[in-house]
Amino acid sequence: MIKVKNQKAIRNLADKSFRANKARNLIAIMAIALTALLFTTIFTMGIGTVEGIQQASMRQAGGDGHAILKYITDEEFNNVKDHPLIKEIAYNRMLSDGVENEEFLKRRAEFWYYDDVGLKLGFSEPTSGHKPVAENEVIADTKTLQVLGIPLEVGAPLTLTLEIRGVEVRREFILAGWWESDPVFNVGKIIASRTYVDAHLDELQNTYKVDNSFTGATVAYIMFENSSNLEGKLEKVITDSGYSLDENTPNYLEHNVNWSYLSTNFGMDAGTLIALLSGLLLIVLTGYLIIYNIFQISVIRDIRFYGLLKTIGTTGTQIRRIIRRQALILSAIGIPIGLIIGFFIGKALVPFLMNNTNYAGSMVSVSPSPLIFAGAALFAVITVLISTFKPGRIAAAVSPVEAVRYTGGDSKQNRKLKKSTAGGKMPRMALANLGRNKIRTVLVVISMSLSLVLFNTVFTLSRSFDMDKFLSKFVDTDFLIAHAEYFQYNFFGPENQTTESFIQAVEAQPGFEEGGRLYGGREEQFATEDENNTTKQYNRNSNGDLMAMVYGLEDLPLHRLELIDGELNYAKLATGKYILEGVQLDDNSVPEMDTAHFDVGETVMLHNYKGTSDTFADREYTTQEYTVLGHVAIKYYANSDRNRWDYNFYLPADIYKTMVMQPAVMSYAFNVSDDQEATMERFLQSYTDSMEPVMNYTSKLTSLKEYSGMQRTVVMIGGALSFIIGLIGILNFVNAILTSILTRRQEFAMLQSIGMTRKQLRRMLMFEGFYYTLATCALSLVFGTVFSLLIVKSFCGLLWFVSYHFILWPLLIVLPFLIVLGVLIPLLSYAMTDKQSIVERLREAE
Amino acid sequence: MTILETTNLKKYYGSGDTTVKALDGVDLIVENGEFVAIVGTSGSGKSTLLHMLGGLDRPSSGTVTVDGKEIFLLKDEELTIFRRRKIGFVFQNYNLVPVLNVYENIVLPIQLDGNEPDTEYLNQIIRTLGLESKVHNLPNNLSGGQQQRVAIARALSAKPAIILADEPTGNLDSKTSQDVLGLLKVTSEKFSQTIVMITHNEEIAQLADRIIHLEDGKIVGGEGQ
Repeated sequence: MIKVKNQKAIRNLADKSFRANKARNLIAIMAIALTALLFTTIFTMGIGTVEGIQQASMRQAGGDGHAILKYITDEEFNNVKDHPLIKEIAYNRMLSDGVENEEFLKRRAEFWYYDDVGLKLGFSEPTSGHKPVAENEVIADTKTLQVLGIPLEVGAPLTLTLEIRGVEVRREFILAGWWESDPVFNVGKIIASRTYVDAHLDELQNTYKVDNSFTGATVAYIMFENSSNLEGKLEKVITDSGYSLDENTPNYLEHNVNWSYLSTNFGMDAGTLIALLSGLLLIVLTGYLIIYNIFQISVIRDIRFYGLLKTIGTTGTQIRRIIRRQALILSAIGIPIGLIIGFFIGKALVPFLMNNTNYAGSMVSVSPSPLIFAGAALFAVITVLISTFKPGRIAAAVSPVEAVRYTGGDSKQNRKLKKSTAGGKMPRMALANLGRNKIRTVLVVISMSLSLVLFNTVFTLSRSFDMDKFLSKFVDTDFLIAHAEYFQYNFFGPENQTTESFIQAVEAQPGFEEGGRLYGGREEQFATEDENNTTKQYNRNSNGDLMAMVYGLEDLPLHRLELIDGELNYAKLATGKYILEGVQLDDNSVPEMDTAHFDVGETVMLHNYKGTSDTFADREYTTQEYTVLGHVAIKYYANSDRNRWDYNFYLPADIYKTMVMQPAVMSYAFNVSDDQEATMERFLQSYTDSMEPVMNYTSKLTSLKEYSGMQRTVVMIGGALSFIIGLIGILNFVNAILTSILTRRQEFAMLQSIGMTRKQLRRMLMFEGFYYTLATCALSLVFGTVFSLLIVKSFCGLLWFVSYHFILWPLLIVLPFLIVLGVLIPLLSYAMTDKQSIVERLREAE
Repeated sequence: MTILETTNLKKYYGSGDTTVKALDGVDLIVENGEFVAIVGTSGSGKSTLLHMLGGLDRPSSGTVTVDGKEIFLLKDEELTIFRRRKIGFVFQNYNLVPVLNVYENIVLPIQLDGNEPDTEYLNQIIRTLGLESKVHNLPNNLSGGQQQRVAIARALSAKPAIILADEPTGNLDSKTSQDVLGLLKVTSEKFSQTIVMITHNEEIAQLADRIIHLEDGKIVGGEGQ
């Protein structure tokens, strides 16, 4: 009985005293909300990015599905489809080996039949129009239609040139519906109706195992109940249905599991993981700092109240329960607010994170997973509980009598003696006042410094982004033009070389400064001899010589070669007796010298089939001797065919042309005057869209866009974080000042009564604020410098496009503002509290 | 010489039916060097009177003149400075600044004025109050009696016109009370200091030169003039 009444009394006490403390409640709710907000934002960003990557990689792969069976027959499909483990299965049938419309050169398209499940899993359900029904109805994605020049209207006619087992067939269709293309999935899809399938059963016989033809082969996407043990389930489905997992047996079913599901336990790379963990820790720390501070100050302010409670018989445990209850009520209000706002902020920031992955540009929808909210709420509550632990203990341990005499936060003055005489001067008093509660002072200073250091770090990182380093990996000159297939890593030789007409057109443009051709092509089948290489079996020609990639560079690209060792003597090169060997670069643009096979000065034997005949057997197998003049860097995106070869050589174009009768222009690099760059970009865009659609280009501008996108991400996210933490720091500061003034209300009244003028009092408070901010400045400068030099620097070392730059100016800029703030806030706080007369304030003691 | 004078001092709180007449027309004269005790029960208005005398609160009507100056004609800032130089307070709960040591607490009013303390005089006070060995101590390391003595020293240090003591022995045991009161009287004589002390204890009041009785905001007995 007593216990029950007891509980109720405690609760009543807690609630009533809670309501009496409006200012503290407001600040506490804000702090708790901010903490919950931070947690939610991080979790949302984390889970959202994971989801986004998963979604995007699925879309990149072309469809959702736990597992896939490839190129099976109708009979195999029917035997498998009813297996109990399968939740749903899609029937997707390839209707041709390829779609040969010229417009699809740059962006391949495929011709399929998808059943309803297939349409759903393949993200291909039409959003306008309807699913194809009649034999000649098809649906397609918008980009495909755009490329074909078909208007988005139901009933629009379109013709497809299909390749079926080596034979080209033209068929007429009409558009029945369409859906928005996914920027991440770069293959066009044209889907026909079941009626079409049934009308062409003959040609759609599955002959994959015989002639590797795709026409008529069925691909089945399978969804299980859940994504656990996908490998096991798939294998069971296959074997249960009577088929084999062994590819050497006749009843083998080609299969695999969707790797994007497997990668949920991901190897997030070390950098992201560390960032995430330290982010979490940082938030816990910051949240702890401020919430602890608030409650400690609040307890100290109400220490008389708790002393009173003790006097009338409340035990320590009960007092702790009161405080805990108040903390939980505040959390119940603050956390939901933080959760909601944090979710939206995180959601807004996810696209920025995604931009840095390979899935940039895809629409990401972050679903409000309960995991996010549960996790963030849990962390927030834990932080609140930890923060109120110590203050609770203080309140519980108070001795009733002491509380009545309490003057404000320093009952545990360990100091006994103070050997000074000038302590009455305002600055000295201010300093001494800060010493009243050293822990509180330190916490506030740390909290503010933290945000300043973070602020500086964000700018350091942003400033350290090395644009030149970044660009130099991707572009060497302002522009690079080539056949579209070059950019798809499929440059062979004369059949997909850069056209002279394109080069002429470019040279005629205003602003054109200089340009040069890069000749090359694997079709030339250059070969070399290397006595040191006895183990390599493949890529040897019939003479046993090793396949080599040789490039012929005109002046501009030749002069842009980066020398690693040896010499870059153009006169010597022009003699035709010398050659340069290409060396691969690693991710940090450091040459991997073990990819060089020859030393400088060594002789290289180059062979090729010189001639113009289509049959290489009719050509002359030549031998040419060169001396290696030096090693140069192979710039993957600028002076290679974008494939990695074992042996790589560079020759001046003229010398190259002595060995190759029909030299193929791999690409054409050129520079343009600065003011005409944008114009050239537009020209290239329209030229490659309409004039010569098989041509394509890359430019510095597009790489720049990618670069500044990344930079922006860092600044945005880092800026947002430091802003929030800065807010918390200031809140902390305001709270500390406000409370210290409030607790000393009586003392101030006393001081005024013995003759301290308001002005003097204000001066003392200004000094106190000033010391706080001075300490913050000092700490953030020291800690910021150390942090930058140690941690940020090594972090920069991890990223290849970042060269660490030490900067401190963001800190230095903010400091004056901080100091002003430090002086203003006490003044304002005092003004707010100075409304009562001295007597009234003195009276409060009695 | 009259050092302190009030004329028809009134302090009313509230209005209409709920008017509280804390002071209802008090006329008072204190001569230089006197030790006056104002006695009354709780609610008699003695604290209010003391606060008026010290310029801590403004009256509803009437005047207070300290050392020839009508204090309520002064503005707040001027009043504070006046108080700093002319009036010394001793409170019931000592009210020392916890972060300053004994010496600094004592010279605080002087330092607030920007002046240098009269060391000769200070040493005298400290010796008289028996605080020589405690000058460097912080208040938390002193007993109640010691703290009160520091408060008295502080009140004396600026050589004010009058010292106003509000229940100075309220928080002390009988023995210490005796000591403190004794000191008050001694310093009053030695340094020719005027003291006005409030107390509800008739016995303590006996130490004073003159006793004034206050009841319901009016002087009812004792020699007011």
